[in-house]
Amino acid sequence: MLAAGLWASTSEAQETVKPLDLGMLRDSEISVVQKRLYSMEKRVELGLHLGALPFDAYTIAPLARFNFTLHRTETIGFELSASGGYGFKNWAFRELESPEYSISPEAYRYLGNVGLAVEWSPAYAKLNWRGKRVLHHNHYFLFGGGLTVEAPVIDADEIGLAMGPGGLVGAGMRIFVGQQSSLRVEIRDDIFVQKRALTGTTKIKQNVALSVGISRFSKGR
Amino acid sequence: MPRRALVLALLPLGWFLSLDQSWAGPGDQQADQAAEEGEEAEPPTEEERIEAFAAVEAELSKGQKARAADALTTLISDTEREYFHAEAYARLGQLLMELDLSYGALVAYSRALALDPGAEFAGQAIERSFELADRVGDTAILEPVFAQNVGGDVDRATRSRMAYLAARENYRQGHHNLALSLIKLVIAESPVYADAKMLEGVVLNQQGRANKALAPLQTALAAAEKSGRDSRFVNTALLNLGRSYYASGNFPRAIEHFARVSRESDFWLEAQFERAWAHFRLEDMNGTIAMLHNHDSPFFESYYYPEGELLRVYALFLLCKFPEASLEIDEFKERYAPVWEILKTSTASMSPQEAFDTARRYVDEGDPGPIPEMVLQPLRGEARLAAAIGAAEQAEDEVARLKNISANPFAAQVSSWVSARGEEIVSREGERIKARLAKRSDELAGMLTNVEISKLDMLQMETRLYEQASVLGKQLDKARQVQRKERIRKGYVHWPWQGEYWVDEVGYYRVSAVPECPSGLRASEE
Repeated sequence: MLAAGLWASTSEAQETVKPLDLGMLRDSEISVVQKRLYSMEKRVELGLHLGALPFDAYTIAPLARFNFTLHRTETIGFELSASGGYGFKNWAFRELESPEYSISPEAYRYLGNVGLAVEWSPAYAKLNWRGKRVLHHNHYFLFGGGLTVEAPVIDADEIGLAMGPGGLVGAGMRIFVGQQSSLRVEIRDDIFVQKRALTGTTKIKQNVALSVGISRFSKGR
Repeated sequence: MPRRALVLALLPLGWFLSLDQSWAGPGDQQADQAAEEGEEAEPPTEEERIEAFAAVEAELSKGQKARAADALTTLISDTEREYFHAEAYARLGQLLMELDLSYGALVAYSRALALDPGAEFAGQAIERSFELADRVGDTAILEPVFAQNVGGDVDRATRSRMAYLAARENYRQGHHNLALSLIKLVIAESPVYADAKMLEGVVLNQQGRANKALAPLQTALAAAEKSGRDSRFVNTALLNLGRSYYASGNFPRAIEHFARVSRESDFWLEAQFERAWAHFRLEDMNGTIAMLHNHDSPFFESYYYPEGELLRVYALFLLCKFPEASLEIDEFKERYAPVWEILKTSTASMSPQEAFDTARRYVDEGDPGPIPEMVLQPLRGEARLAAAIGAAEQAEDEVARLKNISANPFAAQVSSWVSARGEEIVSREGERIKARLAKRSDELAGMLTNVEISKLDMLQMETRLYEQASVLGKQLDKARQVQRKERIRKGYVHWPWQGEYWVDEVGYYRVSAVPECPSGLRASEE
């Protein structure tokens, strides 16, 4: 109670002694207006990413992705992407397969994905690198859909591939290293419907991929 | 060069000289004196000449260049053979050049040209002296020589350079009209054409003819860009153009040219400061404060801009931002009063040599010595001081090398000439630096006195602002709310200011402060 009273009286005191900014030059009256150093508007971006799907319970899949993005404005672009990879059995799968457990879980290995997404880049930022260099970068989000192709880990020719449509969400950061190049770090989640022939079930599966890549922009205006 | 062409080339100078009686070379003075005395100077015969140079020729025939130089210095010190001194200096210049004593050779050639600019050897001596002056970095030594005469049998390009140097010397001596006439001798194909046009602009500005200075400065800029001159020259031309437009009252064009000075240039901050003045004259206080916000950044803490700080105070005052202006005055005093104290005491007893040494140490090693660094800072990129330091170093180096051959009598003689030239450079530059420091001290003293008075005015205004605000506070808040948001052009990014200085943002500040003058308290009405 006492502390609360003290706190209340202190905040009241703080309120009353708030510095008067009458006749002062306020921060809000100053701004910095700079020509955007790295513009994306009306430019095409081609990117190549390398990454992995590290969060699957039974597999780990390295992947490569190619993307083509048409940036209509500085904040909105349309991306077409195609990824390919191969899911290998991970430590958990091998452990279950071992004579100790002798279990073969129903697992599907990642093979590829094609997607179409809208890229929204709301943040264009600067990063002060040790007071010596300013790195310009932007942050973006992806919303879209695609088709994912997987195959059962267990060899069963009659089962065939497991393909499924789905949605796509992602987020990333693009560090501009020149007027025509950028480095990208991205996380994306392909959420798709997978019909599992082995058990006859339909599941929603998420493939969360982490990737880094480089991209080249077409020449600006 | 054909004589007719030479006469034509010298016509403007001759025409001007007829107006300016003070211009007369030593040769002319001697001739006039001889004419007045009714004597006719008899030139020596060829036999006498051969006899005078016999010892020199004898040593040269044996390949003894150092001994030949000794013989020439003996001849030079023989007052009875004064007629041959000019040639002796020229021949000594050539020998010293061959002995790799460039500074000594330059001094010898400059003396030869000063004694007899119309001699047969003059053409070659002029070209060699240019080569040597560039090598040692002391073209200034030739300025007084050519200021007396731009004759000699040389090509048009060489004559252009001579005329340019002569113009510089005459400008330095305050003979502005003569300098302008000499600049007209510089041909458009000359490598110094842009420099000459720049000098013409500077001279015209000095004469208060800023409007007339615009054309030559534009020509200088165009010539420099066409010939691919270094960015320093181009930026100097832009700065001078901005100044000329400012002086002619065309502030928007002044702003345009100040804005074109490259961010990488040593003159960039100065251009921002002068641009702030142009905004001020256009009564654009926001523009003034925005330009001077650069100087307030920590990146330029060590730069000397007291006038910029006071200009900022005035701009704030005119926006009725009295408390802010009052704070700025306090900061000004806090920052510059100690600088003035140090300057006052340290420059009073400083000799030119000490002033030069301080500047040299600062430029070479970054050590400002007893002088506050911010006052010396502009010297760091100054081409004139750099050239003087370079020339002084060359002179010291050559004197040291001459000590190694001190057995030769000519070495002592040449060493004394080179030393004297080095001392002359040090003394001249030292005087200039000392005068500059004294000027800074005086201007700071004046500013510090004036801000005390301004501070009192400011306190009164501040009190009135608060009194008015107590009555009209709500209205003021309203005025603030209706402040328009600045429209940002496409392709530009708007970064709100949060009190943090980023190096890449320097130069891109915008201020959109609303004047806080309630009716009856407008600065203009006081």
